[in-house]
Amino acid sequence: MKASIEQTELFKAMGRVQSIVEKRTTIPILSNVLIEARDDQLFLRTTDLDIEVLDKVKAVVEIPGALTVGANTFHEIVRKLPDGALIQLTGNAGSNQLEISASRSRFFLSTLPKEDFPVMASEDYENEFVAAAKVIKRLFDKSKFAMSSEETRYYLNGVYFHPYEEGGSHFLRAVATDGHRLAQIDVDPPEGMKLFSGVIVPKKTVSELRMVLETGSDDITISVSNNKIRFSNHNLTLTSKVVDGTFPDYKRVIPVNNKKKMKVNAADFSEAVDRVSTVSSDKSRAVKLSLSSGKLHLSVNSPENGKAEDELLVDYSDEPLEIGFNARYLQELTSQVDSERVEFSFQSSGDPALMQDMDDTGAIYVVMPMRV
Amino acid sequence: MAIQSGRIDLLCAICSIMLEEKNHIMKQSPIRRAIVKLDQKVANRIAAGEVIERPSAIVKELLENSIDASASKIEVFLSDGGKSLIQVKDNGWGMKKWELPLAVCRHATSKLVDNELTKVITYGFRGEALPSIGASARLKIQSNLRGSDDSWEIFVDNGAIGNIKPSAINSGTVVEVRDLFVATPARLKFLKSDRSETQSIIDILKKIALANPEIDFSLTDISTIDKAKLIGDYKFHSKKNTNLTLVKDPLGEANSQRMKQIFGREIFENLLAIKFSGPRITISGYISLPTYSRSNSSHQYFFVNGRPVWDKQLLGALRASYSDFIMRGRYPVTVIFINCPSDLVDANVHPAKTEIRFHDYPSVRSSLISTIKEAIANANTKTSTAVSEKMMEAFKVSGHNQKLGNNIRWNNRPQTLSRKVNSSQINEPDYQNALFSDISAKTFQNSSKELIKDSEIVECDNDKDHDLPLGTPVAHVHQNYIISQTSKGLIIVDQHAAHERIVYEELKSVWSKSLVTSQALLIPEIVELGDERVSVLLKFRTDLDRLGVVLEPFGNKSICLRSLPAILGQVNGSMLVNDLADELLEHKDVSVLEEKIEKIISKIACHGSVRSGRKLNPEEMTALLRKMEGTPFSNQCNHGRPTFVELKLTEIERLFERN
Repeated sequence: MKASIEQTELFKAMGRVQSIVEKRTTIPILSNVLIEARDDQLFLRTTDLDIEVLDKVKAVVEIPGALTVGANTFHEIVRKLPDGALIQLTGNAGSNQLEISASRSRFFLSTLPKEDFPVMASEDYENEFVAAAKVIKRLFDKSKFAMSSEETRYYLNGVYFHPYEEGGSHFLRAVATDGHRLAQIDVDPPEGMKLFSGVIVPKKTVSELRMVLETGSDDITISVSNNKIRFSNHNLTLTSKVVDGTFPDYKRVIPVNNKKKMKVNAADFSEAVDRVSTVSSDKSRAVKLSLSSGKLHLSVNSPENGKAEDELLVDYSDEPLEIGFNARYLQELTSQVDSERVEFSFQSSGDPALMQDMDDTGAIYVVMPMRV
Repeated sequence: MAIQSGRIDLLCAICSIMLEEKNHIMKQSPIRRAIVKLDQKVANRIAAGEVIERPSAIVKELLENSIDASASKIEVFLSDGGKSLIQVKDNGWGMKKWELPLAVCRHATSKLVDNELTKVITYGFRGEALPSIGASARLKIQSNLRGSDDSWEIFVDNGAIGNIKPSAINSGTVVEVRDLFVATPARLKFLKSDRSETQSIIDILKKIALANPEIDFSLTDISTIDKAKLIGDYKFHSKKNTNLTLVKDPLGEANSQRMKQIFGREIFENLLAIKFSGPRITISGYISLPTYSRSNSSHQYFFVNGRPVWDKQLLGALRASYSDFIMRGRYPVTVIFINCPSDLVDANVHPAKTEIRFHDYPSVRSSLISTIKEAIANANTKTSTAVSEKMMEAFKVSGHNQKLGNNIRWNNRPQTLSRKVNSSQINEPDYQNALFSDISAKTFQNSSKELIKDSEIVECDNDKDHDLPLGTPVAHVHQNYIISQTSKGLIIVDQHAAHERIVYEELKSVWSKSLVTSQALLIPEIVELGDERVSVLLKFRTDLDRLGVVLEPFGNKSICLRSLPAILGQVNGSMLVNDLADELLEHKDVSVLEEKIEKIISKIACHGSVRSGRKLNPEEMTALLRKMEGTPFSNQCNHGRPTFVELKLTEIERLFERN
């Protein structure tokens, strides 16, 4: 293999692919990146066996070939080479080394055979459609905070990504829950999307998705099968296994009869919650909301520190209600909201509460109360 | 590769064919036979198997017989781990001539009054020991009825009872067991080495000796005829014989004497006496300080009405009492006597009688736990001598090495000495800085007179403070350790560990007063548990509710989990409920949940306490020491490590060889 490439390009590409590489692994080749040089391009591929990332960059290829080399070291070397330098990559089959040279710097990295690199089996994707990056970004960004990290209910460790039909209208929907709160985000179905059975996109994939969504072209191609999901833009392809499990029937837990509605300024509310929860020292910062006509009273009672109270003017006209919540949950909920005002709706102090962005009907949040 | 796996398949196939054939043969054989009553001899041998499984079981039975016969002195001789000979000699009240043949018959005993099994006050009552021994060995009993001139003996050879003959002994009873299991070679094969059988006998003797401190016991190994070896000797010295005034022990002098004989003085010094008397039950004994522990539970003894028992429930209660104070995988040393009327306890669970059943186990458990916790709480200014022993050793070793090293250097290069002196002079001010008075002088140099007055007050108090258990801080070294002077010596306190425990206890007391906040679940979890576990969980529903676990019945075999304690965060609900059900079935309390919550509190406490590396001023140090004195369990941190070590003046003097 012999190829040359511009430092900036290679550095950006390596930065993207190396983020899924596990630093410590029992299979040495998993810390490597597979570099293929052909058709005037470098193909960089990394995997952790669950996710695979493939990036393409333009290069001058003199001798096509492929090899694998330690992803972290390679990335570091490229980072430290002078900006804009021309990097020469030469694979030496005899000594099993990759020579990296740029101006006067030369590095020799040992390689592992490319045949050993586990390339993810390609899949028959039953469904493929194109969506705008910002639409997909919204789906995952607004729901991911509610993903669970508790391993026993592994089917909650991700975002449930599926088409949904209600009253004749179709949506593409993302749902996440950790058993205490739930987020449900809808977008209009992208053109060309057929109905497919929903998949649970794993936590790590959701956070790595950013690199596909934020680099390159505006349009993202999404391919879904029963076992895998693939997101790709012009240069970058991220393929991930999906969580092998059944997402619970979330529709049952979304309250439909919450009559007591409170409208409040999101930022004011979030700040007030933050203020009163200062006195609570434990993890389960319980804040009590007492609602009466036009007024919201927030209070936190901490046995060791004391008490905190605050009051907000809100739009509420139902009978008085007292209900407790985990302060962190409330803050995480309100931080998902883009518009100024949100609407909470309650039924009783023991029933789930619903929160909606008043300018965005496509997002619904549910949170369970606490007994305080 | 393909060929190889093919071969494996072939092998498997052959194996399974062979197995099938074997099953076939076994299936073929059954022939119907009529039911017959077993021969007496066989029946006895089967029964004997339950009581007599190894030599130590014989020693146990014979010792208990001797004690039941009011002996005050019991001697045991054995050879080859008891396999070839066990002899137990006592000075008890003996047996009449006509009682001897009865004694070796099954179900004959003098110990049951009016055939009342609920009123057992002796060790024995089943009438099985001697016949069982007679069925599995050659047994000779010689006995002299107290006050009578005649002595008689009887001989049983593997079940065959011989005639009564006159004997030559003067008093008491001598039971001799020879050639154990000769008639049942299968059993003989399962015996362990002489050494481990002897060890097992020693263990039995220790247990029985602990429970009977006023009886003299001795154990002699006579395997080699000309060299008898005394391997256990526990004598009771009544106070009249000794002029020494012993430290007063709440459990009586006999007990503490026996404890020292069996465990040695070092262990005994790390024990706390416990005593509890309830309306129907008394608990007494010794438990070790949490900082003195063992890596296995072999030093945990329980006696119920004097009977050594090995009971899982009691061990569980013990674990629960220490759960907060001891490191995981460490076990305290305990000797606990539980006495209660014989109708509250059933020892007739197994022929070996090491298992028992309490009629009201929950109350026994709660009294035991509270007694132990109280004892540990009251000992919050006592720390294990093991720690200071370790320190003494460390001092000694390093001192020794230094001496050697210095000598060599002095001989070779005298100039090093002078350099050394210089460097120590340079270091001196630093060391002085660490001293309490100097810190205060330095710290308050520039500040107002008022502050200086404060520090003077502290100094004035010094003499008075020496009566305080944890004394007065004199220095703060390495920004983590407080050196404090007490009337008896000095102590070194680990500030982080000590403060962590104080914060933890405070949080715990706050927490126990308030209602636990409970987080409702969005998707209620259905946990399948089975009838028994569901009903026990529902029975304790209000207790669980108080702790933040809200559940509802869901059919007969499952429950529906609606809320969990918020403090646990994201937790595996079904596992928690399963653990809870198990705990409730076994112990009838919800301690497993409390333990989980306390673990979280302990983590919070760790973050909320003074770190090591933070400089404390004298007032802060004094405050910490006074708080430690007032906080229960403050002698170990949440993880069971000691919070302070004590070096007694006598020990310091020993270090300088000043005695």
